[in-house]
Amino acid sequence: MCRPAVSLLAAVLLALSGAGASAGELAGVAGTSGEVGSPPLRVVSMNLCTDQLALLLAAPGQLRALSHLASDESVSVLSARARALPRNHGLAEEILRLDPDLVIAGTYTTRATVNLLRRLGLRVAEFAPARNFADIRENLTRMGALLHREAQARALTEAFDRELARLSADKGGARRPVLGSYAANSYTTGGGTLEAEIVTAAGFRHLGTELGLSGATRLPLESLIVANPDYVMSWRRWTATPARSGEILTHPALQKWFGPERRLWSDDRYWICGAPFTVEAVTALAAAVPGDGS
Amino acid sequence: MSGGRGIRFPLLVAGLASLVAGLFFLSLAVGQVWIDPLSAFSGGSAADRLILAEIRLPRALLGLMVGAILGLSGAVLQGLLRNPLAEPGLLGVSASASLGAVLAIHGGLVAVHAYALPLSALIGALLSVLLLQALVGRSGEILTLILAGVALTSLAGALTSLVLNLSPNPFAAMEIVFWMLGSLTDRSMVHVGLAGPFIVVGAVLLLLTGRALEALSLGQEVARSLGIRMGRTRALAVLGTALGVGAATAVSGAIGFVGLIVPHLLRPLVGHRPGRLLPVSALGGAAFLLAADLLVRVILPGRDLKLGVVTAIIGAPFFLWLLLSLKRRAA
Amino acid sequence: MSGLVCDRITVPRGDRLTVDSVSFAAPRPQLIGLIGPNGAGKSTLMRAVAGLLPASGTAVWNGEDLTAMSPARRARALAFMPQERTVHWPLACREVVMLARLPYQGAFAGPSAADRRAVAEALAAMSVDGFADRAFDTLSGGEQARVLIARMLAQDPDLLIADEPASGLDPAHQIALMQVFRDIVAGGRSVLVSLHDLSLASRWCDRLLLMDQGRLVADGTPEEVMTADRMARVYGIAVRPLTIGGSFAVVPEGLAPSASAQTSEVMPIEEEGEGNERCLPRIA
Repeated sequence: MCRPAVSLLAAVLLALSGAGASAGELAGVAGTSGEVGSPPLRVVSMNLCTDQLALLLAAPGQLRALSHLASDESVSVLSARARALPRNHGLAEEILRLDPDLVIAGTYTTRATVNLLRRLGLRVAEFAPARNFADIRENLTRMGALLHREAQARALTEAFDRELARLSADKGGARRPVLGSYAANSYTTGGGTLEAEIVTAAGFRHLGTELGLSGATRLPLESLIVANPDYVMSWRRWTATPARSGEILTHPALQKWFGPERRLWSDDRYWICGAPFTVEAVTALAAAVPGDGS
Repeated sequence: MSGGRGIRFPLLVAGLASLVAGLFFLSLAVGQVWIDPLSAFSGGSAADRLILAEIRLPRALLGLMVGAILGLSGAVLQGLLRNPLAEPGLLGVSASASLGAVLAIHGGLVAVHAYALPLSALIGALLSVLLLQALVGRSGEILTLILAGVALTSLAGALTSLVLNLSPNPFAAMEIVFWMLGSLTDRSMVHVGLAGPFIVVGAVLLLLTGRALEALSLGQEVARSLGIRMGRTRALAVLGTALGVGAATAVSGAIGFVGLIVPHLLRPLVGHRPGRLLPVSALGGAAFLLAADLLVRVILPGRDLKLGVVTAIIGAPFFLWLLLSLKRRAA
Repeated sequence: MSGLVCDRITVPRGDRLTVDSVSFAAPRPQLIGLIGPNGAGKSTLMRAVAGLLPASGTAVWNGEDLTAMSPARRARALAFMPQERTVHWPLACREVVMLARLPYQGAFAGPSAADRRAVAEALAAMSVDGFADRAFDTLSGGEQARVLIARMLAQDPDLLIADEPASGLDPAHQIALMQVFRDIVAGGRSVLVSLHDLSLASRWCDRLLLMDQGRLVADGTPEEVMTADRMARVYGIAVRPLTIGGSFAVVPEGLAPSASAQTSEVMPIEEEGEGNERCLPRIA
């Protein structure tokens, strides 16, 4: 079983860090031409996050193929639905053979492929990863417009906002505990990211934001101990597979300082992409801590 | 008796030992925040004590042990092959040990038993030394040896990358850098326990070659006529290197050039005696690696600059200079 | 039986025998010269006697088989000096000579007073005490040779085996060297030495072993071995026997009449070096 782990890694890191500003600008330019005329009928998506947005919005038969990651249950929330569709590996050749009338890609991955496809005359729309809830709404709306599924997009956006509103109403005015994320290879995430927004929405203060960090960044273990957040959250998925990168999550110093009651474990799949299901990440995190501001 | 050539041996050993002690102390004190190791245990905060005991102490201990075994094995290989360019990193021993370690981790052996990690790295190192011996034979010819090392390093590096790329774990690919350049960041006492015993045994085996290496200055035949058993000497050097460098690499990744630079700098100070070079190279290696690891922390704190980057930045130009000076001498 | 007794020593290499069933007995302390043209098998024979090569036959020293002796024990019984004069690191000469004392030192023990004395005596015997603290690689070829001979002397063995120790020495040092060997023999020990200089061999050795194409072709006093006829046959040279101050010596005069035909039958050179002792570049 061979999965190109590097591209997946890029997706994970990107989701955690929220990519760069330039990526967002590119997406805006790329998308302008697609909203009028007849709906695209042979849509190919090349990116895990656009895969999932497209799956949520597309009409039956409108999607031709998704990236192979979409059907990977360890990273994709919608893997079961994605499995019904053909997969691609982001190679120009296989995309061309599918004869798409719309290609949807991420701004960060497969740049060379995207440029090539454009040169060959294909219509390519690029999506920047969502860095906050507003980006999620915007991406949903834009995807709805591209696929001519505006009504579906509107419904999903409204449901998303309803859930968020309900969650924030739940929170009392009590002291909000600090939560820091800690991932393989000692990575944590700074402010201005989707992670920061999820953590805040779940009723915590976000350590990376409070420390003034930005993007995905290494936080030495001793700095984490000195910063001493109330909770340390890690993602569950890759800690079970043996790898040196994950060893840090079982470091004796980490275990001793933060007892099991201060360690939280989240499901990676809901954190990788900003999408309507991001609200599930918020719900799960909010529910992980017993009581309220104890 | 040292007669003006080199410093008095006990003085040199004492000097290097105090250098190592000083660097070890600094290694405990320097990090994201300065912690005074002396006062921390009496009056420091709980966080300081934990950081000292569980993060900085293992890091300093590993720096000490890994540096010592790298310096020592470099000195032994140079004495055995009578070649100042021999070094576990350059000869591909470290890279092969990395491959062994990666196979143990990603092949699931480590899940079966923790000691599978150093053992597998040790086997990788052992195979590489045996392969080198088969390739180069007893001639120890300089060009063949270096080229064989280059080939072995590339092959082991490529296979390591392959294994990590095939891993379903997306973070595994990030490890490639660690296994090829080495780091002591955020290691724990678990790693000290895993590698320590092997490194100590390996060091003892390597130190036992001292007499033979002295005799080998006169060539293999005279050495044998002086009662040196070459088979035993080779076995000690090979096993000691495999045990020590294998276990060190299993927990710290492949750190190059320590075994090249350290013996070379210290050789004139012991009157070029290959046997006396061994203990001082161990001390010198420890000092060098502790210093490099401190540098890593001071230059780019928080960025996890790889140790091998520092040792290579110092070591590679040094290697080129060494090649040039060898060429001049041969001309 | 005391002394050196070799019985049918044979060293195969490939499908040939580089040393073919060489036997001789030297029951008393003697200065034994080993002579013969290039490729005769002299170096190989000496290595075989020193236990450095796998060989069949026996080399018995004072009743003990050298080839079966433990390396540590043999190191005290005999010292060997090869033709290559390589010291791989720029060691001080004193340290080079001190290496001879390794067989007498414990695993991690330093040199004892006896070791230092033996080294000092050896340095003095070869007149190299003047540059004892200089690095070996800064010496001239002849000086290096003398330091290495001093190394052999310091090992203090009962049997010395030296391959071409006199080559590269100036005449004064050659004579001094032979005088040192004579003194050693006078002290009750034996020396087996290969020599290319026939005058030196004939003048100083008690006994000569003449080898040709792996075989021992003559064994006896210089006078018995170095007949004009035999020298012409084996070396292809004409020699003039002389008596200098009552002792025998030969002087090569020129090529023997059929020299070219003779030398073409001599085996190609293969005794020089073992191939595994390549000289690596040394650095200061």
